[in-house]
Amino acid sequence: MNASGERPSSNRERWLARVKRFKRGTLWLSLAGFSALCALSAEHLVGVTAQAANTPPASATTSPSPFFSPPANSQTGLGNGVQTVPQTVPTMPLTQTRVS
Amino acid sequence: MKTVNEIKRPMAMKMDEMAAGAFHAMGTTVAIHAPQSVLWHALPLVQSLFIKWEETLSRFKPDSELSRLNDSSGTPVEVSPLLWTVLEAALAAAKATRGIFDPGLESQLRAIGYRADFETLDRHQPPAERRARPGGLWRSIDCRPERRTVTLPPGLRLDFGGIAKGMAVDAAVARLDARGLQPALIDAGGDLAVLSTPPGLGYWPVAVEGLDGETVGVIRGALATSGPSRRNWLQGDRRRHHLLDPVTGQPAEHALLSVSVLAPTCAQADVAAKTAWILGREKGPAFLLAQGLSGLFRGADARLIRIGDWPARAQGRDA
Repeated sequence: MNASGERPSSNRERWLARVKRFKRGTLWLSLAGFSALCALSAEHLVGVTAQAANTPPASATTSPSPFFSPPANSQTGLGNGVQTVPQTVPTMPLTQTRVS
Repeated sequence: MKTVNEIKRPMAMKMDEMAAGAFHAMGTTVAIHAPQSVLWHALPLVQSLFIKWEETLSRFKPDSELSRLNDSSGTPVEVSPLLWTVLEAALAAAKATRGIFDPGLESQLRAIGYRADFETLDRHQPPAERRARPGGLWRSIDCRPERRTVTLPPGLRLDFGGIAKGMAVDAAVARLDARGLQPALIDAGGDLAVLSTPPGLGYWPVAVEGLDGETVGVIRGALATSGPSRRNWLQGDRRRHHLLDPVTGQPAEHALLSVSVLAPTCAQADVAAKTAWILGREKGPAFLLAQGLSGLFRGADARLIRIGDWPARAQGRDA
């Protein structure tokens, strides 16, 4: 059958009809293949991004080192942590930090 | 030893019963803030401690224990408990910062002209002829705890710098606490630690240099600030400073004015502030967060970056 619903009248028309069907098939196959490739690429990219997000910066350690978390000295209070008022305070400063 | 020993009353509301005493040691001014009755007893205790630490650990005093050790590289040297303790902490800090904090850069500091106590340092020096070497030799220091024996590898000379100052502050706080002398704030050139809180206030108001309204209420712990703005000089036509990048052995270059860090101890705060400054605005904040510390990065463009639990800006107070 040709596009108008009539049976092809000649070999040439039948051949052209086969070519059209082949082209349509190729198009659909190409589209399907392209979609599959896109999906695979997206999955790969997501995986790579997730991996990168879990990778610590080259300069940073992943957990506090012993130097920065020594056992607290209950007698002196040293190493018992640091605490500040949560916001800057309006009080006149008693002293100031200096760059060293 | 130049001693100031001046007692003055700070201008502060609710702080009229507080007083301050100061003296010069370890290349800086050390101040103690405490009630007058506490200060009277605390000042000589803290001063004698700093004098001992400076005599032992100064790289500028040729007869200090550290200078003798530096002059004996390649030979095992039995060191005092104090030098051993500071060296152990410095090596632990170097490991903790993956070598960004490097206690073995004394030769590199000399190569760029930092050869004397900063107050007497010539700020306009002739151009350098030697190229600085990278750091990292601290990994080859041989430490034998059985007899506190240290062997420095050839070519390495130690400079404890800020970590020794921070540890001295921590030791001074412990000494006062052991004698019940509190509250007190000990401030060695801006690296400070507190012991208890002032009566009637509940915190120590500490301003960050150069930032109006950035006054932090410290209740417990320590605060230190690092940057190149104070300790810098000219070598030929090149501006030099003391914060070296161990990868190059040269002063690190950043558009950062300073990094202030809050930490449980002053030694931690000093090492973390120095490390964060050398790492810069991109990598420094991640380093502080990884160590569970908080800090304030101050850029040359006046931009402020608050990290961790650094106090938020109180409403209505602009920079």
